[in-house]
Amino acid sequence: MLQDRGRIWLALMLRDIRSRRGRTAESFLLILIEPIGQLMIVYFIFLALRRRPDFGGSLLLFLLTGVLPYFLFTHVVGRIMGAIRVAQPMLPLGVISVVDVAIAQLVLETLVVAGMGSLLLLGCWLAGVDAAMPSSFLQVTMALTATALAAFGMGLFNAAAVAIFTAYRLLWTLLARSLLFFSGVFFVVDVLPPRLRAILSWNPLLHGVIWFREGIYGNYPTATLSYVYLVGFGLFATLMGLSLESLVRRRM
Amino acid sequence: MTIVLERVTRINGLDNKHPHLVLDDVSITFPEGRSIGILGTRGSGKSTLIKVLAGALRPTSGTVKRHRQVSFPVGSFGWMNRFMTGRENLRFLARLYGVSAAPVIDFVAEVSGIGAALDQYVGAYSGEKRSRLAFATSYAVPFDTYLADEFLVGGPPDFRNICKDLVRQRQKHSTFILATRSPALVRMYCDVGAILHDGKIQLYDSVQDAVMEYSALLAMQSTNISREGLATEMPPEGFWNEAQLADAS
Repeated sequence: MLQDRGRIWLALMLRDIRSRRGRTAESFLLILIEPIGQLMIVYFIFLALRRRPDFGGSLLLFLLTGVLPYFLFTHVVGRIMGAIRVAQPMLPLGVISVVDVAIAQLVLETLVVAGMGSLLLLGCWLAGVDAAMPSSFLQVTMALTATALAAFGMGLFNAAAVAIFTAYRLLWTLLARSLLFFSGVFFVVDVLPPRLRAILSWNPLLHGVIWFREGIYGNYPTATLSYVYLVGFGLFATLMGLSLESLVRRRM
Repeated sequence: MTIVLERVTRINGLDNKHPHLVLDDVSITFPEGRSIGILGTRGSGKSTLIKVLAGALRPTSGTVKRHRQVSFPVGSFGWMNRFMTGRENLRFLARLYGVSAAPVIDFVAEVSGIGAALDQYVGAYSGEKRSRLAFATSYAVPFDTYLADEFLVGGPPDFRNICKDLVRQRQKHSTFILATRSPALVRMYCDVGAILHDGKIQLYDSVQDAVMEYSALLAMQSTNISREGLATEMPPEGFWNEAQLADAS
């Protein structure tokens, strides 16, 4: 059974890769260039403001370790939000469900962002930033996995929500943009006033960022971090997303 | 048995506030190894039924059990990715169904006759090439049950004849479920008749019984509609003529 699903997920991933290549020859390169571009813009703005990193000696590494989980979360959510639309023409094949498409997109997008992140971290390390070598590969992997799980649940929920209320897409776009500023990408959450920390800690991505930085730096402040909250959010959102998707599919 | 419907109800249009009952508490077991022709008037829900059988649509309530490998609707093309070549789409299909890609590709290359176009993006295909690829692909994977929504064959006349031969070959080992408005198609390809009407499916012992009942239903509908002064759903010329329909399909 799982072997059959695995075969189907692999087929969907390969299809995704092939069709991306088909759209433009450079589309895969763009996947790498986009986050690097955004990272560089933020980096140069911070340099211009003469801002020092809130943690560690390298501003670039500090920003990179915040941007990577953010990218993973928003990219996975964004891709899975389109799962119903992508799956629709393939449903007559009988063996594919919306959830299969979502899982294939989750795995592929996570691998792409993780691969891109590894290259960037390696680049930083080769450029002389020793801290770019993760202090715990296990923590880094777990942080990315938990963030991807949360994104999967959120994406499934959003996909179903968009099918019911089209305007939800606009709401999510605004929310996703604002996540960059409320997820501790540019600052260390633990130095904020307790009241503000308590509000921000509802944001699951914030925990993903802290967890990832803990895996990279080893001694990153983690007073606000809750592993249980991030994983629990992922499981809860996935359950909600699956229920809502099932409801939507019966109404389609 | 290949496909079993247990108390299946399907209401279309629940998402756009225009609900329409298409399948009303239907329980049916489709007999294995037979070719079942389901007759239904326009709007009776034939396409919905085929989509429910294929798994493309979920029933609003009830269960659909597919016991053996069921095909996608014959001739459907929408699942193919226009940014992939014909060959790549076939590889994708073979992976999905867990069959070896090489025989599938060889079969389609030989039957469809589209030659080098198999390595072009399907988005660039002409209508004829698309038809040839879609119908050849439908018979390339050895399914236990084939589903068809009006079309068992397609493309230009010479290719239709190839498809007809393929249907005959596949009918020796597989179940066919064809939903159509055309009694002649059912007479030509099926050995079990059925009628889909008012959300219910009625199986008949013989195709002839189903066709006669369907004729009576059509006549009754056209009389009722004529009385109301509305346009009638009269069958097109040659609708009952098997010789013409042999090509019309």
